[in-house]
Formats: sequence, C-alpha cells, structure tokens
Amino acid sequence: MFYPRSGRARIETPAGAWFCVPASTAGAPRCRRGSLRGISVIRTLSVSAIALSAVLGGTTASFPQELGRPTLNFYGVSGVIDMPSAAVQPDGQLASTLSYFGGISRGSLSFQIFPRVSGTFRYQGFQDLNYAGYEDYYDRSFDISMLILKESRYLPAVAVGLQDFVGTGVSSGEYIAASKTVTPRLRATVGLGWGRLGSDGDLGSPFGDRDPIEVDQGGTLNAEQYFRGPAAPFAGIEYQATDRMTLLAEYSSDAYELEAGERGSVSDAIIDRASPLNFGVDYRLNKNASLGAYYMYGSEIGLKVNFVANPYEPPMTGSYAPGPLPVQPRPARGSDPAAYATDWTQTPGVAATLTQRLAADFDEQGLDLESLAVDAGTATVRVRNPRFDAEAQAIGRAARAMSRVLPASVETFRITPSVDGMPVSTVTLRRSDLETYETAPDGADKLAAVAGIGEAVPQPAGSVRNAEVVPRFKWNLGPYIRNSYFDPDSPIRADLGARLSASYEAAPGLVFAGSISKRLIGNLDENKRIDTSVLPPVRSNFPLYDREGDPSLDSLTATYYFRPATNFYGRVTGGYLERMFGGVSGEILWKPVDSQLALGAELNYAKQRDYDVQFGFQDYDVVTGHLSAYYDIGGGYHAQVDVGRYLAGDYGATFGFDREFENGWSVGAFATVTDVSAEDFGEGSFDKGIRLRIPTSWFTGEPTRRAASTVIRPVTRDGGARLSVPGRLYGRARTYHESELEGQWGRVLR
Amino acid sequence: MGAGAAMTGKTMRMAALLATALGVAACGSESGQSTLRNVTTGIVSQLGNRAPSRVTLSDQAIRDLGEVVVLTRRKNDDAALIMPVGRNGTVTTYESVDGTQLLLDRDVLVGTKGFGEDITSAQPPDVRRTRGTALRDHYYLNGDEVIRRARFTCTITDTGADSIEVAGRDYPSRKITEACSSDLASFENLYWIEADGTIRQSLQWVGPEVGSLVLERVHD
Repeated sequence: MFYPRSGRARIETPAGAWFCVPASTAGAPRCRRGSLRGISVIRTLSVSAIALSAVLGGTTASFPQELGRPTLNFYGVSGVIDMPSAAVQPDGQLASTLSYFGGISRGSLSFQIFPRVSGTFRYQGFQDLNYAGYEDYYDRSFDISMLILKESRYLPAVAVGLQDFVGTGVSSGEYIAASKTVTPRLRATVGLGWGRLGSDGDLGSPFGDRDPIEVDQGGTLNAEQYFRGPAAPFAGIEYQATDRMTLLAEYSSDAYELEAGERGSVSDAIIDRASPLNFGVDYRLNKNASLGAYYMYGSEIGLKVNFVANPYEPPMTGSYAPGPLPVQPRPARGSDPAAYATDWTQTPGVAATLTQRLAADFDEQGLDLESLAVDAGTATVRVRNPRFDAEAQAIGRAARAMSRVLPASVETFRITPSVDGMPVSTVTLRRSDLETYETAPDGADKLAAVAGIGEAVPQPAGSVRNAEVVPRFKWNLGPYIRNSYFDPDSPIRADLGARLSASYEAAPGLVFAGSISKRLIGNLDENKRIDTSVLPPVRSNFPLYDREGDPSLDSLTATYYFRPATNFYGRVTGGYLERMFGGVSGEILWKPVDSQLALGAELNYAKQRDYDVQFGFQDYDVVTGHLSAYYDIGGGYHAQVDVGRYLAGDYGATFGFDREFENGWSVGAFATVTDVSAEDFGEGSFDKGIRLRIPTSWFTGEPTRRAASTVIRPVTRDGGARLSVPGRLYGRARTYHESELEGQWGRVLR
Repeated sequence: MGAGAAMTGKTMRMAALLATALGVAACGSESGQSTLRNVTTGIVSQLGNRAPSRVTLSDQAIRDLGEVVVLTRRKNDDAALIMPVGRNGTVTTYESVDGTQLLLDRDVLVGTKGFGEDITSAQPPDVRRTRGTALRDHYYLNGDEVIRRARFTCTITDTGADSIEVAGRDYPSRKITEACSSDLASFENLYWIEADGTIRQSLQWVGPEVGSLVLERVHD
C-alpha cells in the first residue's frame, strides 16, 4: 500500500496533526511532531583520526575531520607572528585574517590557489602615520608564495614568497623560508628576508642594491627589486601546547623603520620597536575560527582573529532537504505485456493530459516543465531549474517524475534543460537504466556511464507547451546591500535598501525585466571623492551615482536569447542595462557541450546615464565590444581572455583566472591591460581585482541556486572598464554542459 | 573537542541562516520565496537544545496505520514513523512526515536521504544467510562532490534466540550480530530475524555523524 505523494503522507490522529499519547517511558505525556531534521549534530571522530588528505584523491570515503591548518600570521599568510613560514595551507582553503597592533590594522584574504601556491590580498591601515600626505595611511597589497620543496623526513619544507609585490610598496619584501616539524607538536622556521623583511640585522646585500620604489601610482610590478638589497635572517617557533592552543615565538627581521619614525620627517612614529622578539598564543575556537593575543616588539599588544573556510569541508555534508519522488518502475514485460501497448498515442488530447500531469509532478520536485513532446517510445521534455544548484540533481528529479507519469512504452527520456527559454543541452537516459540504478549500489556512477549528454535537440513536432511556465510574469521585493571599499576617508561603506524587480517572459527566450531600488539607510552617498581622471569618467564617478541615484531604476531591459545554430548561442539585449549605462548589446557564443574551449563575440552601443539613475542620459556614448576565449583547463581551473574596446574608448585585453569547485565555489582574479598608460589610468595603474562566489547551499545544506558573489577591486578607475550587461551567455550555456553536469553528478539520484 | 565540534556546525549554520535570512527576506510571485519561512524555522530549531521528538501514538494506533516502520535515531532518541512511498524491485523507499527517506532492501538499509551525511547507496551482505566474514560497501558523497566507497570487513554471527516486543506484540526471533570495521570506522549492526526471514527489529549504522538507527517493523 502506498501513500499518495501530493502533500506528503500526513499522519493524522483524532486530535490533529500532533502525536499525543501517554508516553511508555517515565514522564509526562508529550505532544510532538515526528521529525528527524534540525537535529543537533555531535561529530564523533572515527577510531583512528585520519589526515585531511584522505578527502582528496583516492577511492575510499572519508568523513569530515577537523580543519587542519598551520598558523596564519599577522599578514594573513602561513607564518609565525609577523614572519612567514614554509608551511602550506590545505589546498583550496580560503582564509581571512584581521590583525592589529600599535595602530597598524591589517585585513587579509588568502587563498591556496594550487597545492603549492598561495595568493593574498590585503588592506592595511596605519593610524596617524602621517605619510605621503595622508594622516591615516591605507594601503592595498598582493602577496604570492610558492612551496619549492615539500617537507620530508630529513629535509625541511622550503618556500619562496613575494610580499606586496604589486603596488606602492610600503610592505614590500621577499623571503625564502624553511620550516621543519621537529616533533609532531613543534615546528621551527628559519628564513632570509629582503626589503621590509631584511631591514633589521642584515647580513649584506647578496644580489646587489635595491633601488627605492617610485611610489607614483602603484600597481606596477617592481620586478627589478625582488631579492635585492640587504638580506636579514628571521626565525620562529610554533608549539602546539594543547589541541586548541599554540604558543608562538619569533625573531623578526622587520625594523618597521617607517612606523617607528626612523625615516626622519617622512612619517610619524606610531610604534616603539624596543625588541626584535615577538611572543604570542593562538587559540583555536572551532574548525573555522581562531583568536590570538601577542606581545609585539617589546612594546605593543597585538590581536589577531582568523576565519577560515575550505570549499571541500562544508559546515554540513550532504543535504538535509526532503528526498525526491521515488522512481515508479514498470511491470515486467513478461508478466504484463499489455502495459507496454502503444495505442495510447491514438487517444485524442493525450499529449496535453500527460503534459499537465507531468507539470504537476515537476512542480512538486521544485522544477518547471516548459514543454513535453511524447511518442510511443521517446519523451522529450524542456525543463527549467529554479531550485537545484547541482544541475545533475535537477536532471535526476525530472527523470523520476517522467517515470511516474509516462506510459510504459516510453523507454527513452530526453531531458533538455532550458535557461530562460534557451535550451542548452540534452541528457538522454533509458528508462530501464533509471529503474535499475535508482536503488543499486553505486547507482549514480553507473547511471553516469549510460547517460548521454549532448547538444540540445530541436523541439519535436507535437510538443505541448506548459502555459503556466511561459508566458509568465514574476516579481520579487526584497532587501539589498551594496558596499564600497578602500576609500581612505572611510574604508568600508554600505547601503541597505529595498529592491523591487519584475520580469515578464512573453515567449521562450523573450524576457522583459526591470528593477527599482530605494535606499533605506547607508553612507554610500558620503563619498566626496572628486574624479580626477583624464579619461572620460565612465566608472570613476560612481560616487555621484550613489549620491543622486535614489530611488534608482537599476535596469529595464528587453532580452532575446536564441540558438542560431548547433553549438551556437545568441543574445540581444536593449534598454537600461546597468546603473551607469544604457544601450544595446549583442552577443554570440560558440560552445559545444563537450568542449573545453568556448569562443564568443560581443558588440555593444552604450550611452552614459544621468546621475539620478532614472530615465535620462548624458551625452557620452561609446561603441564597445570584445572577442572572448574561455578555456576549461581541468582540475577546476578556468582561464578567460577578452580582447576589445572598453567603455572609455581604450583598446586592450582582460585576463581572468578562476578556480572553481564542484560545489559551486569560485575564487578568481582578473587584470586588464589597455593602451591607457599608467599615468593616465591613475592610481593603481591598471584595472585588477579578485572575484569570489560562495553558493548559499554550502552553508545551509539545502538546495538553492542563490549564491553570494562579490568582486573586490582595489581601485575603481576608468581604464579597462567593461559594460556590465546582464545575461551574458557563457555562464548560462555552460551550466548544463558535460563538465558541469559531471561535476555534481553525485547528486543525480538525490 | 566534541562539544566544540558540535558548536561548529551549529554556529556556522546559525550564522549562515541569519545571513541567508537577510538575503531571502523577500516576497514575490514565486513559490521559492517561502525560503524565508524555512530559514526562520531552521534558525528556531537551532536555538537551544530542543528536546528530541518522540513518536507518541498508542501501539494499536501505530498498528492501524498499516505498513509502517518506527525509526529511532540512537544518538539522541529522535523518533519518527516512516511509511512506504515507492517500491523498486526488492527495495522499498520509506519516508517520514518531513521528507527524510530510507531505502530498505527487504528491511536492510541501503540508502538514506535527508540526514546530511547520507548513505547514497550500499551493498550489504545477506544477513539472513551469511555467517562468518563478509564485505559491506557504503557509498558516501564527500565534500568535493565525489561519491566514494567505504568498504568494511564484517563478521556476522548468530547469537541465539531472542524474543522482542514491537508495538505491544511479542515476536520470537534470532538475534544476528554484524560487527564491521575498516580504517575509518567500526560499528555493530544488530538484526532480530524471525523464522520466515522478516527482520522485525534492527540497529543499523549510517555514519559517524548520524550514528545508528533503530528500525522496528510494525506490520506483518
């Protein structure tokens, strides 16, 4: 006997939906709803605690362990206290560090890009330093470090690093460090530092002199400086006293000349460097956070807090969401051959009926049925996935619903995911395989072996469209937060407000959409920076938009997505494309379903909008366009090159490099070089930034397509500025292509 | 370490839910907007140590429900009733009111959905017939979205006759013990099997986080 699926089986007692009865064990009667969710998790480690390396590679399962990692120093890199070390963080780890001592605050974001290479972005504030014309001096810097030699039984780990290697160079330094785990609880590090790390107790200049940096606009690689000038030794010790507490001591080679006021009238003294020795304690609060307290340079108290996350170690593994509809297997052909008859196809209106029933089942699974075409042996559906971030899970749920609704003679399921009406691929499954592998051991992998992923099939004749999905009007009202960083007057600003957005899809692929926002509270409008750009102010005048654009018509567009030919995708968009520009945008993308390479071309006409972000335009207009190449290198690494013309009329190229994780995390960096000279560009010399995407489902353990994305740009100037057009094709087309589907195929039967 | 680790999952989840609440505190035409309600329920359920839920129907009332299994999570005594919602070959999918599912192949657990650390699929030994050493495979989804196999070496022994009581009725059965271990974990599954092969009651392990589940088959 089976319970009806609609609304899920409810166990009703005469008293209602609660279970109430005298308890059989001692205690008062309880009225509770039977539920196994939201249970507090007590993690027990297995009998033999295993290293984190068991998670990566290998075919044996492993269970989540404590997030192991070496200490992070005040600069946010692997190190002791202020000095770096040669220990590496686990692969893929993202670490943020906030540290403070003697008026120097540092906020750093570090990412273990490769198992041996780590990159860091940092924002430092020197309070009352009175340097370079600023009373409080703020500085952005980038670091990179690489493990040259892995630690072995007799040899230490050796790493080379560049600190603040692109920029104004206030913290510039290079180092070679060697670290050895002397006992399981004790790590010792010795190293040699140059630049800032070679300023105290140097042993001479082994590679020649170091020219003083031309502070200028910053943003240039000071390559001729690296490892030049005086080199000084540093050393440190990390002792893990208990499971949570680590004791630290180091000998620092950083003289802090600038901050100790030893460069004459260039700066004020803000710290007193009485001694080269630092001491401290680091306390691990839990898997993701730790705190430290330190005694720095014989005179200052220092504090540090770390927040660490690793995409491979979600706060909760798997999913807590309800399970899917079970597959409804067909009777055995031998025992009930009549069920496999094909005369049902002759019934008038059968396609419409099946479409309706399938739409209801899809709806219950969290999917939208766009259309269904069915004949005696094959069913082709176009499905939209508003819920599952694991695209393979959407495919699996669609297949389950099809197994429950379609007559037995239909053996082949062709599932075409559709993104806003644009079909992007077709997954072909045999119904018999689905029935066999739904409950079989290693079923998901076995299903992968027999599933076909290919180019989207054209819509067959006799397709019935689900009128509830297209045409459709949607709206949404919700809060938004917008922020702005790195203005020396106020390094972090934010606005909180309400945004109303709506969209109307008139036909598959034809979407009209708009969005209005109104600020409730915030200080983005306090930015009084005056634009001093020699280039047309295409981006650098964002403070004016923040100030005057409230309420603002963020966007109002008409878009048409289409498939011009096999492996090709197209888009045409017109209207108010973003807050600062409106115009027309067209794009073509070539991307076969199984290809690592994709090529695209985009052409735009953009006109700058009025500062009040309403319906008006300013005079400035420009034709921009790019040729793009996207390459999936493998292992989650992606590269992108865009060549063309930017908003200020400059020509150049943008290089992007991202590391993507199967669960939707993405960390990457980009840089744009154009024919705008460093002087004309202004502060920063060229456009660059870091981009980060964290899927919400990683935190909550429930499927959702929402994600938190951010782009961190040290400086926003006018060179190398690209039009921000919504709905660019690459991100849409690739979601249901081979690589992405295979990435989370483990959830296909979930 | 245990308490701290417990706080980790809970604190992270709380923080994330609060942050998500801001992101989903929206209303709109799509059904997905009710995420706020789910998020709020999630937050409320994380606050404080909620007493575990109990199945509190009289034995006869449970019996009247039909083909039902009483499921208890050993670690914290959370209990629920699960009912069949699908059958594929010898595997029956049972589901509880909130959507948590168990896949039982003739009363032996071969999959779970909704516990977080779920068994995605499994190949257990035949506990009705096999005695001595046997292999058991569990497949789990790891943090990198790859399903990996955990293979256990098990020793199955018949420890003799044992009469048990399920929902007010006595069932004479034999108690079979399956002691499994591997590098990663060790556990013991117990089965009370009647003369006709029905596994009337069992204790079956899911994973280190979830622990073991007690399954009591109420219907005949």
